[in-house]
Amino acid sequence: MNKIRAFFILLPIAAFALVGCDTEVIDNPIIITSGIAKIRHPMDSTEHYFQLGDTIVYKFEVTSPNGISKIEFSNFQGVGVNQKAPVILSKVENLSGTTWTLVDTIKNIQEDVRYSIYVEDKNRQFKTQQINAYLDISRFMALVLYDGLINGTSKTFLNVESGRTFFVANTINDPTAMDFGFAFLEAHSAVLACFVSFDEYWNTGNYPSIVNNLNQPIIFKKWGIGTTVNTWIKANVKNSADLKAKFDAAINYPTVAPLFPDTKVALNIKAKDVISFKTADGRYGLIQVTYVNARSNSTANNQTITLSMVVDKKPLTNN
Amino acid sequence: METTKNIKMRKLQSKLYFVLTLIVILSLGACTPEKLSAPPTIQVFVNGDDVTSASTVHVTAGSRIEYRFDVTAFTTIADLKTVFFDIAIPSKKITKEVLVAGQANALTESVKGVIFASSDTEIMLVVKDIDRNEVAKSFTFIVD
Repeated sequence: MNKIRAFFILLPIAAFALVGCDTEVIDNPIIITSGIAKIRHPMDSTEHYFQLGDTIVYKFEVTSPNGISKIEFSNFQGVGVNQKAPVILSKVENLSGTTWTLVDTIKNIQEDVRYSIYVEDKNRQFKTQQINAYLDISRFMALVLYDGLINGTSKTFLNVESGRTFFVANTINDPTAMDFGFAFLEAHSAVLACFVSFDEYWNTGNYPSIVNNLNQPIIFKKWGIGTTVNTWIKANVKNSADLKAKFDAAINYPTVAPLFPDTKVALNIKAKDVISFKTADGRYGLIQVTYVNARSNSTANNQTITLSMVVDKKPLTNN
Repeated sequence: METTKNIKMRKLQSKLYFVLTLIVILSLGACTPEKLSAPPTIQVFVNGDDVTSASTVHVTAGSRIEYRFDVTAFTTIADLKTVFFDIAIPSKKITKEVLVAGQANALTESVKGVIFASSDTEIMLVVKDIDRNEVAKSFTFIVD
């Protein structure tokens, strides 16, 4: 009896011991080195900010002493929540050597891009590596905002970082994600179509707000009027420095007491208007209005605004 | 002379008493009624004036009314809602609920809003906390 009991006690202990002894041995690991830089600059990092139109060089170097079984080379367009699905650009299998190198260029960069490789050796070990090319600005070319409907079914608020538009119910989840909202005050001829910093949006009368922890204010200034509706902003803003220069040259909107006593609002917006703004964390942006649908100044809160926007990216934290 | 059997029985008995006492204490603890927080309190301000006790204000047509509800809760605020009653016809109030923007994450919160006077209206804030306390406070403006 005692022997049987001892056997059953020792059995799991032995099993654990055996599992514990089966250590994973990494034999001749795959080594990947990579880098990205503006052409004729040192490749000292795997991610960088670039300006529109830059020519960029990037490289991947693979060393796999066990032999390379497979390499997949993929491309992702966009960044963050706006990133598109990956596209496999090439796939090579059963290479004869132990090294592999890729050097290529991105000519005239127009959007954020990521390149990634997946390497598998003949012992089924694998490794991935990626390089990122970010533009110093983000461009969103066809955004639509709606005046705030009382039942909350209109996308009224904008997050400038992602270019995403939001309902009022979204502001309850994360008020600090909202930068500004759109309102159409048909009863106030000096205001009409307006953008209002989210911390002051309650002033529009569309929605009351819990004011304690709203996002930091956005300052708006009027730059002027763009010559064309759709392409002016593309032609006139190429980089972060352009955004700052335009903000510095822009003029303050007039105050409309007691409605809007400061510069956290852009007033009386019309098609082709160009509006500069500055976020609380010091980034600059520019909006060109494509179209304001005033719906004959209806009181039904059904007005819309269509706009293009360019904004500084947040600084890289690991670069 | 006590037998060994009796001694064992008495030990068992005392152990049983101990377990029983433990069960009674635990049961009493479990039966203690749940302590609920006091309901939230709401103060109402219209154009800067405290109208919590006298909740009717007279305004001129088209004027801007800035209102503020200061909520003090004693436990986490679960839900905030504003309800507007249009009392153009006193016998028939037209009700609409307006969502409140922003997130309540403190025990003391201020809800601010603006309305442009067009017809007699009552504006109510309804606050619920996680102890299922529900409190409402309103003010009415009469357009002269």
